[in-house]
Amino acid sequence: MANIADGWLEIEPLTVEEIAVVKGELLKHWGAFTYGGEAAIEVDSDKLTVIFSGRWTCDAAWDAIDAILNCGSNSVASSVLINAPMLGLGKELASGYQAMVKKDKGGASLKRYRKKI
Amino acid sequence: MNKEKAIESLKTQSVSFGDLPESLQEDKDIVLTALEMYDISFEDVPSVFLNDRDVTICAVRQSPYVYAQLPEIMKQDKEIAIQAIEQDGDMLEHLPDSLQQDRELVTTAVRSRFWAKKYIPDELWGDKKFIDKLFKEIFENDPFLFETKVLPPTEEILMKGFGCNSLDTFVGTTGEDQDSEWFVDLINDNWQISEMSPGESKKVGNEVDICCYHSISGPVTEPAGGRQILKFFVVSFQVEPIHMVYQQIFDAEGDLYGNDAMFYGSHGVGPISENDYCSEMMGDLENTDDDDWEEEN
Repeated sequence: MANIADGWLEIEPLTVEEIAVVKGELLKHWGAFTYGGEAAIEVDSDKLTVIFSGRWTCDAAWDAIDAILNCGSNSVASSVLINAPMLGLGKELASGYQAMVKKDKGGASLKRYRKKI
Repeated sequence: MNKEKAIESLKTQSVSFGDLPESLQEDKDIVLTALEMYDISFEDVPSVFLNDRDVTICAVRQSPYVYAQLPEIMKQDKEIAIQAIEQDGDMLEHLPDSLQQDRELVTTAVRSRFWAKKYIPDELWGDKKFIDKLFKEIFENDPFLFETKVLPPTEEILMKGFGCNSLDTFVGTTGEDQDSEWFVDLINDNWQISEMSPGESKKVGNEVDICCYHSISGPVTEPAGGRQILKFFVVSFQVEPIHMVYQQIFDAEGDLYGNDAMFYGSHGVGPISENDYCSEMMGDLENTDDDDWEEEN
């Protein structure tokens, strides 16, 4: 078993309807969030937070979000996520992995950052 | 294109709902076919059908999360509610108050997703007879819910949970002296570990002193017995039955059993709320200078 990276991604603001759409879409990609066990989707008012794990890194989760963002103009989830700012963080301390992702409103992909070692 | 041809084309995916003429898009049979074929989602359904019961049931069957978006009159429909919570018990949260009190619906929701129990209204928790019956039945159908502290994980329970007649699949891979009893002990050890609080140390099993530590930002811990605990993934245990975590582990690569540290490190220890978890990670982020990060290509 590989080391497990912990990750977290916050998406806000979202309406109740948008949260339902995003939650449904995330669950279609759930395998990307559950390497170390089941992940969680927390909803607090207009904010949706995904708490997840990955294999060594959180790249699979970031890739899944990017895939949803780019799944076409007919996708409601894609439109919702493009319009939502996002902020996320991932860690796997044993290997020194620390990552951050950001996306502004209107952005069609996550900007990915690595902590300098 | 006539209606019959349109339906056939939708079923063979040779045409999309959006490509059909408006007159056909307002035909109920065509809308139902498009939903069944996942060609459209509820958001794409023409507004004339938004209060149509058949269309709504079809849409909820396609995705239970649609239920949260339904108009109140549709949410009150018990059959629609059942469609939603059978697929995801968490939809219990979105049921109107009157249906949240419905014992049949609550039972369906908790059967579908154990942790939907957090949405059971206080009034029903007061009905001890109902609650006892509900969890007895749930437990009998999912013996891995031992982390609810109903029963400890015995060999019989583990076999039933994994759907096997022997635990041999899970033992004998590290070269240590292992048998099914060892495996049951191991699960029991982890059960004990899961009860420990951050920072707590205690003897677990015959040889290992486990020093519990939430390693979100923490150091490597080296307990007696030579097993290192590199890190703990604290969240998964809080939100789902631990058997899912075990299942992930058992499905993983072959070096698993050669590395006890990661076995222990892959599931939760002690209570920590998801909010605390996020706050802690956010704290790290806020304390980080922009210069510390470099953008990936």
